[in-house]
Amino acid sequence: MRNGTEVDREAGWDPPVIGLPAAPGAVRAPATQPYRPDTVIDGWSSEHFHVRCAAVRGPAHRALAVPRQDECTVVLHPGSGAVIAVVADGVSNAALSHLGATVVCRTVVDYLLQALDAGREVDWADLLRCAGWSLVEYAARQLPEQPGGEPVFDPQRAERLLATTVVIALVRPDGPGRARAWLVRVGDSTGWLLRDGDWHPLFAALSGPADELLPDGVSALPRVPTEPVLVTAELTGGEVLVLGTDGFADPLGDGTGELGGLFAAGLASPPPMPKLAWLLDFTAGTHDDDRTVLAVWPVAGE
Amino acid sequence: MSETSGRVLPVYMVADESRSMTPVVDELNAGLRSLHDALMREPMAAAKVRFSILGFSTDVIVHSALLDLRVTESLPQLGVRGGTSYGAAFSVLLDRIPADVRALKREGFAVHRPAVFFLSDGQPTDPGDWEATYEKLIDREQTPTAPNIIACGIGEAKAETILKVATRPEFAFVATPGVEVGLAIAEFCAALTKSVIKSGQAIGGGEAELVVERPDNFRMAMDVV
Repeated sequence: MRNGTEVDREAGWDPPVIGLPAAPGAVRAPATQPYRPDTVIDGWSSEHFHVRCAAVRGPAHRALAVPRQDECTVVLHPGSGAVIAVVADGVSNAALSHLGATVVCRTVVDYLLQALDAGREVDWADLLRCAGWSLVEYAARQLPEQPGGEPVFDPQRAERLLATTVVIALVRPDGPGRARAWLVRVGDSTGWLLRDGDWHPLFAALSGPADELLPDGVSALPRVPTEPVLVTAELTGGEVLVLGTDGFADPLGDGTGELGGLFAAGLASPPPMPKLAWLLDFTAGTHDDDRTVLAVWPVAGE
Repeated sequence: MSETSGRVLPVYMVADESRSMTPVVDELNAGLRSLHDALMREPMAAAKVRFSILGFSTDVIVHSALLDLRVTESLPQLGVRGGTSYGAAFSVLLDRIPADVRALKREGFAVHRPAVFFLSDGQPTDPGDWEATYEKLIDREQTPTAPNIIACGIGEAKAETILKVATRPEFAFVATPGVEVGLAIAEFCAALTKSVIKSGQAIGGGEAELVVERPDNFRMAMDVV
């Protein structure tokens, strides 16, 4: 070990480097409670789908003792075989946004499982409102300004503490090797269809190459779009649905560079679970945000 | 551009170099040194900043342009010269900022809205002249790269003038009378350092409304964090 906060490198385990290599930075324990792991890895297979996801703390948060603000959740609805996939990215300027990201992921899953159990159409605008309200409720009940008093439901305060982006996909089987996906989002977390190594964005870009500057801020729950855009996608043989946060989307760009090639190869088929987390630990320019990828593959037809 | 090189924040320190600054210019230079030291300890934050130092009096001296502080040995020293022409300062910013943003984009960076830290100890010596240039600089229609301006007044600078220069009321700082000017400068430089290091995402943007009522279908997920 070099010193208490650096991590030893081990042959064969160096994460991918895009462009110039960077000196390994400090990896500090998050200076917050409750416990929050640096990296989460998940994955499973069902009759209709394989899924993988990983959320990895970025170099900046590791160095500054900030917990991972990205979150991902992927669950199976046993009755319908549908997959509920949620990725959230707590906004840096909100002090406890990592909790916000987790609360929203859990709320979305709970809402969609209920809707699927009841066999009712999903009201996407209502889903986003409930996800937004979960932050208000969590701030009032779990983070009260005056412990022991009546909960005070204050959306502005919830925003200051817990603001988070979210991208949600409901993926239903649609015949052998096929699936249909419905997606909504708030903020800059996003999704793609990965087809033959090419990255096809599912949401419109928030800023284009012609824009002079990055957007001044990110829209985030508990704010909800006045008219949420519902995106639908058909997954046919060999296509992969991918969700990700801006920590992955920014360096990916349009996907035609080295990082796009690396992940297209890595996600061509469901990778061993730790491999996705290892890939996400990449170094690329000044990109130092948390990074999350969640991928869904329909099981190939007979 | 298939991949971006990352995000950068252009920061402009615009400091008054009029003669009345003579007693405090050493403190200002010390503040810049401590900013540099702080950023050297935060190389990842420093990587995302390009730092320019402009000194203004009757004219403007560009002491440094788009410095990458990770590879800068030491910051230039501010000096003292003639009057206090706000117009000269804003005019140079109006020339430089759009060109700087273009240059950074050519290098493959995605660029945050630039931040200007404006420090003056006196009233402008060009009243009535500087306002038109200033308005053009901060008008996002005319100048898409219009900066956020954080303004700090010390000494003779009047609060109403500093409020006019800051692009938001909360971006205006005026040293309390009686507070040592050197202390005010140190606080300004500390605020500058903090905001430069923490130039992360901001909340806001997009057409979105705050959820203000509990939706009928809402239920708190059983397993909370």
